Formats: sequence, C-alpha cells, structure tokens
Amino acid sequence: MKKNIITTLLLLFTMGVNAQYKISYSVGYGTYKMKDMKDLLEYGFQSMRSSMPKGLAIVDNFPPYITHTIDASIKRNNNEFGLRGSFLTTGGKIAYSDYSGKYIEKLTFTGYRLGTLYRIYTDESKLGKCTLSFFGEVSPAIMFTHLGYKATLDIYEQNIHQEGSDNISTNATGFSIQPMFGGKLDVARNISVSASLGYDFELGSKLSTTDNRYRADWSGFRLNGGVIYSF
Amino acid sequence: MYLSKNLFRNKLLLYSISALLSFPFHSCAYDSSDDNYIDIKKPDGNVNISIDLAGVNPSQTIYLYQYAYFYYTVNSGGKNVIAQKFYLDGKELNTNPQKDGTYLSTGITDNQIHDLKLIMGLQTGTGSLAEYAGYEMYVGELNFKVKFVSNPDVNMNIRESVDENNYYKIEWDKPKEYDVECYKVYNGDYMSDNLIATINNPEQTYYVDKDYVYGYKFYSICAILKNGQQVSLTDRFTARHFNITENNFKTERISTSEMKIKWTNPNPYPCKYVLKYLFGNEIKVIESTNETIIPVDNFPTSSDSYAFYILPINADTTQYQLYPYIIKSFSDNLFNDINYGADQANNLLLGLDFDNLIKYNASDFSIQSTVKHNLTLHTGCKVKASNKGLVAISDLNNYIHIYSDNTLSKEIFFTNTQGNYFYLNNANHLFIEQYTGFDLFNIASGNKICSKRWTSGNTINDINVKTRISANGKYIYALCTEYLPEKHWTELYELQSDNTLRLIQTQINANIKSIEFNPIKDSEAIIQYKDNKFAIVDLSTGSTTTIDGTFQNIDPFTGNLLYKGPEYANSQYNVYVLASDYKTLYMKIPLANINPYADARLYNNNLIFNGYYLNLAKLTK
Repeated sequence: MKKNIITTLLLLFTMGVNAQYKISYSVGYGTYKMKDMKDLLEYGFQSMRSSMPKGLAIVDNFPPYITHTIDASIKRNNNEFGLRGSFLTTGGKIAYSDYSGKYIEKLTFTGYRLGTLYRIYTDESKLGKCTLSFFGEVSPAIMFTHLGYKATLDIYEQNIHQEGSDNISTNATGFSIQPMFGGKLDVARNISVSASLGYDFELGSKLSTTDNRYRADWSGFRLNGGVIYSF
Repeated sequence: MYLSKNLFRNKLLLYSISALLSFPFHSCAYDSSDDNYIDIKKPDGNVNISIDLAGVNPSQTIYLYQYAYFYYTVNSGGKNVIAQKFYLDGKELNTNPQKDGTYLSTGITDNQIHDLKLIMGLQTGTGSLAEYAGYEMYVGELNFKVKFVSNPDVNMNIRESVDENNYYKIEWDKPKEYDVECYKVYNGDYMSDNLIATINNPEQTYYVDKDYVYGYKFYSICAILKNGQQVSLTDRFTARHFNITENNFKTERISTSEMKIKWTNPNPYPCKYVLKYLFGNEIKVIESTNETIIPVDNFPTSSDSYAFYILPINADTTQYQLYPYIIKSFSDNLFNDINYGADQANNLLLGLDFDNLIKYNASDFSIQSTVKHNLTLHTGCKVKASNKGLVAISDLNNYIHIYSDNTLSKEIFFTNTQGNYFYLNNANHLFIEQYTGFDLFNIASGNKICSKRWTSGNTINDINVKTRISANGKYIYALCTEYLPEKHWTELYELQSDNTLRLIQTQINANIKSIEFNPIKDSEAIIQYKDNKFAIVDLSTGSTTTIDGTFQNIDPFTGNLLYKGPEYANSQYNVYVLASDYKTLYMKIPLANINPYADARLYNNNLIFNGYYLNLAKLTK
C-alpha cells in the first residue's frame, strides 16, 4: 500500500515538473430528481391519512440542498487532473403536531460522491488586477448513498414517546458523471475563487429495502462556488 | 512486526482522514424543523353522560340473566363513545359492547345483589393527535345494582280447571324470591311471540281462556320481573281435554236426502260448532244445541264426510278453519252377510256369513244372536226359512241342509239342488226347480212326493222351465220356453191332496219375464212382463192389478210391495213401496247410482240394496 502511494506521488511529482498543485473547497446547491422516493413518500402519506389528524402533510419532498466538494488536482498548461469528493444530502418528511403531541416520519438521504476530475481551461485574461479564466470539466465518480428512516410519535400529556420500527434504512451504490462549466478568478498569488454550473447524471443506487424497486436518483443541477489554493 | 506496525499506522491514518472529512459533512445532512404545527383548541372540562336501559330504572336493582344481552344506549351529548369497560364487583368483565348494548356473561346464580360499573370514554372531538391515538377522551362512570337470574325456566305449578261459567281456567303459583311485575300468557312457546294476555296484577295467578274449547293448546306463562330487561321466568303447560270420539256421535238418515247428527261433548267449555259438508261447499253453524240435520247423498251412501269444527262461543264463525276439528263420515247401515232371508215365524231376519247364521231383530235389524253353522260356503249360498220356522242353507257343493229351527241344532233333511232355485213352503215341503221341471220333497219323510219334467215333441230340444210354488204349496207356476221354433207359455197347476198335479190354467205366447208368489198371500202371484210392467193376480178370483215398473218383492212381514219405477230404466233410480193394498204409495226412495241393476228387497219395511239397509219407518219425510 505504502509502495503504491509512494509510486503515485512520484508519478505526480514527475508530471509536476512545471505543474501547479491545487486544493479547493467549494460549497454549492444541488437539485435532486428522487422521483421514486417522492412516490414512496406520497404512498406512505396517503396510507396514513385516514388514521391521522386532518392536518397531516408532507412538509419536505426531497428539496434542493447544500453540497460540499473538495478537489485535489494538478494543473499543467491548460489541463488539470485530480480527485474529487462531494457530499450531498436531501430528504422527505411527513409531519403533524399540535398541542397534544407530534408525529414525524422522515427519510434522510446522504451521498458521498468519490471520483476523478478532468478540467480544461481557456486562455487567461485580465479582469482589473486579477486573472480570469474559464473552464469546462467532467467528473466520473462512484456514489455511496445512505438512506435513513425515522418515525416518532410523542403524546405530551401522557409522556409517551414511541418510535416506529425501521425496516427502510439501507445503503446503496451507484455511478455518476458530472459535466460542468465555470470560471476561475485569481485574486492573489496562491488564492483563486471559482464558480461552476453543471448537471449530475446518476445511474444505479437501487435500494434493497424496497426490493430494489426504488432507487435513489441524485440526478440534478449543481451550482458551486469555491476557493482554490495553489502551490 | 515492522510491517504490521506500519500497516496499522497507515489504516489509522486513512480512517482518521475519512472520519475528519465525513463527520463535518455528515453533520450537514438534511434536516427540517418544520413539524407542521396545527393550532387547534384543547377540549373543555366535562361532559354530561346519561344512559337509557331500555325502560329499566338504573337507580333500582336490575334483573338480568346470568348470560344475557344487556341493552343500553348512552346519551353522550353528541360525543362518540370510543371505549367501554364493565366491572362486576370490581372485576373487569370480558365484553364486546355494541351499539345497543353488550353481552354479559357472568355465570352468577347466587340470587344476590351485585355492583355493575360501566366506565366509558367519549371522543373529545378536537381532532388532535392524542385523540386519534386514543389517549385523549372524556371519561364517564355509571354504577348499577344488578341481580342475576340463573335459569329462565321455573316450575310454577301450572294446573287447569274451569271458572264459574265453565270456561277453561289455567292457574299457577307466583315464583318465590322474585319481584314480579306482570305475567304474560303465550299461546305456544313465548319465543313465538303469540301473546294472548298480559296480567299486570302480579297477585292474579290465573287466566281464563275463553278461546280454548277443544284440542291441542300449549301455554307458556312468563313472569316478567320488575326492573328487568324483559327478564322473565317461564313455565309451560299443555291443555288437557277429552277426545270427541266415534262414540260421541250418533247419525241416522231421517229422509231420503237428509241425515240427523247428534253428539255429546265430554268437555265442559262453552262452545259452538261449525259443520262443513257436501265436499266443503256448505257450512252450518250450530249453537246452543247438540244436534243438527244436514243433506246426505241418496241411499245407499258409504261415505258422506263432514268436518266438525269446535269453536269458542264468541268466535267469528267465518274464521272457523282456525279452530280444531274432527273429520267424520256418514254411512248407511251395511250388512256384511252373504245372504239373508226372512224368518217370519220368529220375526227375525236371518243373515248368513261364512261361519255363522246371524239372527237380526226384524224391527230394527239389531243382532239378536248368532249360531255357528259349520258349513263350507261360497258367496252364492242361500238361507231361507219357512213361516213354520224351518231353516234351509245351501252349501259349497249345492247341498241344501234343512234344520228344524234357527238354532241349527237339528238337521232334518238334506239333498243336492244342483245349484237350482229352492223354496221351503209352509206345508213343510222343499221345492227344487230343475232345468226342465221341478221336484217336491216332503221334509219330514224325506220322500219326493211330486215331480214333473216338460218334454218337447221335438226330441232335439229341451223345454226350459222356470217354476215357483205358492207359500202354502197349493199352486205351482211353470214358465216354459221352447226354442226352434221359439214358444213361450205358462202353466198353472194345483197340487192335489194325493200330491198329483191338476193343470188349471195355460196361457199361450205369454210375454212374461218371471213369476213370483206372494209370500204371505197364498193365492196371489206377481207376474213380471218383459215390457217393464208387472201384474198382481189373485188366482182364486182372477182379479189383476197392473203396475208400471219392475217388481222386486213383497215384504214377508208387512205385505208391502217394492218395485223399481218405470223410469229406472232411464237412469232415474227410484224405487217405490206400495202398501199391501197395492194402491197406496207408502214411499218413493231415490237410490244412489251404485250397482243400480242389483235387486232391491223389502223386509219389515227395511229397504235392502247392495248390502245396505234403510229402515223406512224411521224416515220422517
């Protein structure tokens, strides 16, 4: 293992003659298709309506949510190669509460996207004292998804707290490819800021606890803004 | 060792980096604080509950069966009842409350007062989560005193009698240790709900049933307990009665078309009767009497049925079918004998059956006595008696046995008749008709004292002769027929004292069918002509009376003459009885269409036809 790591680092350093090393962190906003999950949540909601108070509602239906991405890359000339890791999350929630108690049923999805990155830059130009360049990139990756389920009933006066049995939580693995376009502005010698927009295409991620009938579809638009440190 | 230490260090480094990266990310996982709070109003304090126990006062002790449905409805002011629990003496009962009550199975039979508690939860109607989850409700409590009846069937010592007006009365004893509210009397089982009386005075332990007069009736007496949900104690009783049997009826034909029915009712209850007759087409209501007259078929009838309904005195007679009835039938009197003959000397009618000689009183045909004859008979055998009391019986082998009297104790003569007609006359002679003549025997000596045969001049043909002798043996009529060529004639002889015959009359080409002598007028013969007429001829004077019709016989007891009217041949089956003067019509009797070509006979004014007999003297119309 150690030998492999040393070999990889030597190769990178070899390539790194006249190369620039970068580490970047970006935060973004992602939309998630999650069609199967929306159907599942709706089915669950309709099933319990008759036995629950009239105000019961789906309060969250897999909304767009914050993403976090860390890249480690090497840039040579206008090409940049690297590794990319992203964290994605969204969820669905059915809820009702009143003076007497609260009922919550929640599906929480978290995704760890681990893959590679290739980016190509346009020629640099000046924006004031800063250097501006545009790029296009593509990132194939493996998506590790975790589905968490939680249902709770609280009746305050009787001091009752009940949790529903969890036969839904599970893990799944899928594939993803993410093309993006963006721009980079060098604001200092080693510091740049970037912004990008793209779409994440998701394959697989069937959930075993639904007999593989439903899948976690993370597909959706991605909008990122980040900071890059070069050395 | 070095390698494993480094491997451990590398793994630790990798896991540490992964944890450092994923932990801050994981803490950023999706979450939502939107709990969808709905602002609804909390329920107010109390609710009023009342209960309806199906007419039972909840503040008093309630009677229930040990296994019974407890009827109640809760008035909860519009709030739904969502939970109910029953407790008996503090212990919860296993119940399944329904909309109108619940089944209580206590198994308690101690006749003691117990505490029954009902705790119920009512919906608050707020629609809150706690209410949906069954944790929010109004709670009410109701308490009762109850007493359980172990067995609804008790012995109330039911008995029957009659009241001062002879109506049927059923009595019982008041159940001990129970507070009775009223009595209900049912016709049949109380489950059938055929309630006939409610007695609201618990001290009145009897019921007079004016509707019971006869037949099966089953009563259920239910003592309804006070403050019980129709909790009752029941005993059952079947009314007893005396059956009206054959012996309670007496029927007789009082005219050719009517019969009188008399009956006795062994039961004392006031009643009336409805008779349904003529195949159910007619009814007759009879009140305050035990006899009536209804139409009847022509004589003889074997089964004129009628239904005899027994109704309460105040019953609607149009509803007579609802009441008990007896099916009866009227039949004219029937002889079961092979043959019968008049024994004028003893004023009897002799009947002959296969074993006995039956002696009937000639006045009413009641059996006076029977005597065993020890002969072997067939259905064509005859019994005849002379007016001197001798009795002759023909047997299976055509032997005729002559006895000195109807005791049959002394047989004085027998001979073979070859199945031919025979006659015992009053001179103690036995006359036997032969194919071509006759023989006459002296019974006392057993000698043949006279005999005659007719022979034709043509040796090929016989002369067929029908012969009859008068009752005193003086006259002998011969009706002769010769064929090829056909000739008919009659010859009348007088038997001389030396037993020779003297021809006193011959009639050529006579249109005569048969000749009979009057059994009680020695010189009178009845000549039946072929053209449906007959003549009564006095042989001593020659006087003749001619009548249309077919002669049947002259009553050997009264001298009255019976004949079938001329219309008989046209299916109007009337027979007539003329008085002994042959002029006065004594009675016209229409006969039923039963074997109409059978002979009718008259004995002491009793008409006999097809084995049935009818005493004409008793007919009032």
